[in-house]
Amino acid sequence: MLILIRYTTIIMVLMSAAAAIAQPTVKKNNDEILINQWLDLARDFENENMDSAAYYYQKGGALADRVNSYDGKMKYAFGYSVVLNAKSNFSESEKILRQALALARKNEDALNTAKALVNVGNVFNYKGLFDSAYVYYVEAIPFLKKADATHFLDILYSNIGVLLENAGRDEEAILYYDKGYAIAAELNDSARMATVLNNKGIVLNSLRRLEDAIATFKKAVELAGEDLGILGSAYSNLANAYQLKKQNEPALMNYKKALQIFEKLGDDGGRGQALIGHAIVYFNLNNPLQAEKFAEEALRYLQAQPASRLELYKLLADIKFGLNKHAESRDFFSKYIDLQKEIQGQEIQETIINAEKKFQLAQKEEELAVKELQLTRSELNNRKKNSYLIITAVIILALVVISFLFFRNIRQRNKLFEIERDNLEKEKEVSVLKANIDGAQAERSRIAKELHDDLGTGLTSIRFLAERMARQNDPEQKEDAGKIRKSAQTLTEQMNEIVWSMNTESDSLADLLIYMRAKVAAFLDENETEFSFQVPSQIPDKKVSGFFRRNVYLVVKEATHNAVKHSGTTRVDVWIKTEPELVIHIKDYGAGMPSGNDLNTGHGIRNMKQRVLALGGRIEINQEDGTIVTLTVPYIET
Amino acid sequence: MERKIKVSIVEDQQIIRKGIRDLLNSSDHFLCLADYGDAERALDDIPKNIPDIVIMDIQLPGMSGTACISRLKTDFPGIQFIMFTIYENSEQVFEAIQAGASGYLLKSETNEKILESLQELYDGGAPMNARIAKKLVMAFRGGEERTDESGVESNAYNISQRENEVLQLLSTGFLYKEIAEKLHISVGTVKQHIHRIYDKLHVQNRTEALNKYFGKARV
Repeated sequence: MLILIRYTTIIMVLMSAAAAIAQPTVKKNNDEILINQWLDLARDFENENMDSAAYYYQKGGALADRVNSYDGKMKYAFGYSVVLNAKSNFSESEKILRQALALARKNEDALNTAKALVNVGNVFNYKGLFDSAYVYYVEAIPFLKKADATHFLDILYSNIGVLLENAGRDEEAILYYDKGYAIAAELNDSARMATVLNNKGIVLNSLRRLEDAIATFKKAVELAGEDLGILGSAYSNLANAYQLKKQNEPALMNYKKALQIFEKLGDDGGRGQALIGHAIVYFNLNNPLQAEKFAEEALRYLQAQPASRLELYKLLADIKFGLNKHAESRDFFSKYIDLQKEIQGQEIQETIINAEKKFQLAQKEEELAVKELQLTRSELNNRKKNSYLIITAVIILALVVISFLFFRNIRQRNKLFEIERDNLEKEKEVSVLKANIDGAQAERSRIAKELHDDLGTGLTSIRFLAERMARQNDPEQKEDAGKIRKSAQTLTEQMNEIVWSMNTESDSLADLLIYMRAKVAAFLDENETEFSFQVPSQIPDKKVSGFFRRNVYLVVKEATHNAVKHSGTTRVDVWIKTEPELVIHIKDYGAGMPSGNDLNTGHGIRNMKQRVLALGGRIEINQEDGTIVTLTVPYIET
Repeated sequence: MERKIKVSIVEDQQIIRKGIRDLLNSSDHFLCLADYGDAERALDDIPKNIPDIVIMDIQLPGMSGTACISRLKTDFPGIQFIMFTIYENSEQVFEAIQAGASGYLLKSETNEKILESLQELYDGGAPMNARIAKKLVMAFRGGEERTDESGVESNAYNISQRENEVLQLLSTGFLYKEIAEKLHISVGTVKQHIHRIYDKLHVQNRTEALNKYFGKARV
């Protein structure tokens, strides 16, 4: 169970590691930054170099596509569509914006959905498809409100106003402009306020509410401030209002200001409009030469603007007619007529194209829906496939991990097995060695025992032979026999002690003390000496070697023998302490040790010292109302 | 003239055997009834010449002294067996005691001591040493445990409180004299206690042997 949990944990850790690799957030962040940098750079180029702007927009867009950056894709679509619109590449602009719209809708992103709708509306607006534009703009309103993005609502209202204006619904247009202005004012955005006012003023102009228009444009000029495009338009519009009011001086002055700004901006359309304004004012001032000069100059800048050109052709026809250049006047007039027809035809065509486009649009939307469905399906399939892949990967991973662990386990077990085997072999060797030693020991014991038995039997035989000899009547022989018998007995006794010390069954401290007590007590009793023994009631269970037992016993025996034989005592007290070391006191109440010259005691003491030293112990002999022999012996682990 | 104590000897060493025989015969109280060089001959002859005491050598060629005692003690519980040994080899002595011996006699003892021991034995005493006493204490303790299991309260050997005390003191190396002083009894009483301990041990063994023979369960 524990192993299972361990495996599971390992798999989880590996999976989370894999997940971390699958989502390189750091890299993604780097890409986002790069996309933003490129798109911002593109927007900065918009006012200076459209091609550079286009280049960076494409670059940023491509990267956004590659790393599938939603924000990047949106920013690219809205920015690049502006450039495409400026280049009149409306179809490309529309395509990009529709993709952005679909993406924003899919993500349920209200703000970007609104922006996309407004921008698609703008494209239709630029193309003159005002009905379509109007639909998109109005559709955008609820999304902007949902996104709580009222700060774009002013632009939207302003744009709707333009559309209403173009549809001839001027009063409604003014209402929308006022709504837009209110929002822009709330936002305190003077540029946007100026833009709305420009639009509103144009409606007022066309309604010939010139006083209102002039006031509106003047305000726009004030608010435009640094924004030269808006300022130029404001001056141009103000000039138009003055011109319509036949106030030529202020009209001309404002046209001049507008022309200067548009020249500065390189805005050909604005320039052309300002030049037309100049021409009209001079024409009104009965200065056809000046008028001709400005009109012809305007013609150069208005090639791309058929509506303005139409107005200009008519003006030029009038100017030339006033200058008595009838042929040229006719020429311009016919140009005017042709263009008018063309524009009308174009309008019809555009309506047809518009209808066709709307149809194609519907078709496209259907296709897109189908494609989206397919995409969703394939995505689902992919996901399924991916999940299969992930599951397979996890299973493989798990198998690899498990087999690795298994392998390791086996290896460890093998190792353990080897160690165990080695240990066993070592043990075997040790046991063989031990058996050999034990065998040798046993053999030695056997030999020793046999030797002891033979010796004992021999000594006993000698002793009985000596006794038989003692029964002879020769007193000298009797004495010798007695000595032989005595020697044999002493030797047998000593043999007895050796046999005892060699008996491993007696290898305990208790056995030593009991044996010693019995022997010493018997000896003292035989020699009619009073005695006492103090032995702890609980003798610790300690194993002591034969060597230890023999030496301790012999030292105590020697000490008691010395006391009895040499001190002349009538009493011996022995007391024993067993912990932490073995301490034995032997006290007699005799005359004390004779001076060291005594050969027997001298030899005996030296013997005792040697034996105690051999055990790593010490012996003290103190004279105090007799003699106290104290031997202290540490237990040596055997 | 008082009755002499009849003693037979089983000892393979001719010199020793002869030495003991001479020792006994030189005494006023003992009579050497027979001497045997091996256990087989003893086993064969003793039923015909029943002594009071048998001095039995532990190490014999062929049948061991212990085995010989074991056979004879069953049929002749009245005979006292005493082990004759060079060393106080507790294992062998203890085995012999269990088989029916009433103590041991060291071959290195003086003549006086040998005769004294035999007299003691005959009078109802028993020679014993600390280590044999210890072994007996352990044997009796084992017996106690056995009876505890079978639910019988008295110990298997019927060792009395006093006998147990004597045995305990003996096992810690006390001399008979010391035990007597400690328990306020005479040395003779101590010896009698020991003798009875031997008897009880042997009775127990005989009962076991009989039960074995009849296949009857012990209480």
